[in-house]
Amino acid sequence: MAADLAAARSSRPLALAPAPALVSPVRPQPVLQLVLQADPLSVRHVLRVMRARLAGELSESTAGSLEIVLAEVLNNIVEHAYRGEGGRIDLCIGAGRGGLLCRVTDQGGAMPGGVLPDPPRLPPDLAIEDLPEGGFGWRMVRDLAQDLHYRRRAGSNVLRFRMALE
Amino acid sequence: MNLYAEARAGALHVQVVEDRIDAAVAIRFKDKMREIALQPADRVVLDLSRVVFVDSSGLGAIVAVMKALAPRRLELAGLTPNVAKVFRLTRMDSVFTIHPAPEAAAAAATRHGG
Repeated sequence: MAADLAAARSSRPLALAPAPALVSPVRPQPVLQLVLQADPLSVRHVLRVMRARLAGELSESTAGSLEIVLAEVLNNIVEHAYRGEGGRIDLCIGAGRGGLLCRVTDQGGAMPGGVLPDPPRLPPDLAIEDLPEGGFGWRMVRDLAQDLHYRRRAGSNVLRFRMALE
Repeated sequence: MNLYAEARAGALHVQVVEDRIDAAVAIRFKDKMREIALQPADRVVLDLSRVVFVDSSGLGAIVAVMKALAPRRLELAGLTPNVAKVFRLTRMDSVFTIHPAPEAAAAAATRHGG
């Protein structure tokens, strides 16, 4: 699919290309643009669609990492931003310099404190009864995604990140 | 959430007959595992060889099951690549005994005298 888009871009007459000053460097050509309902089964479905559509474009490792990050980001919106009451989530994945550029938008509640969580790593040698049963999600997102950026604007949460190609 | 349990060489083997343990099924997985684990066995081996994806909710549920089983042990077998990545990233690979394949878990039981 990315190849199709690249072909469409290159076939455009040069004279009609926008002037460089008007080109936004952060707006990639989308390779996958999806709208989903904020519930766990829709998240699961979208992850399966993403894997199927990008199977030929990404290595197994990159696709796997993207699936982990998107699962955590989307389920966080389902559970916390929309508090399990449903809503709309917009997902856009584009091909950009240095990897995939992803943008996830929702109209749920804002991230507490306006910042993304940064949970600690698991300390070594914890007793079984002291093991945490949560807090894994944002740690994995922070470890796998680059250039994480969150912004609350006009009632929307916009999360952007880049996934490097492995 | 389909789980298939079988007593083998003193261990209870539980195969997850689903391709995902995620937010959609995490609570059901936890409840069913607790139910299955009422059967007496010193070790419970969770066979994840058919599971291609575990998210943080699924991981939390597996940890919760391990805590509920203590002092009995919950061991894991047959982690597929992306599931292994989740355990590695969260350092849970240092908490669980992880067997490369379900057969290896059974062999470990035999070596330990059942």
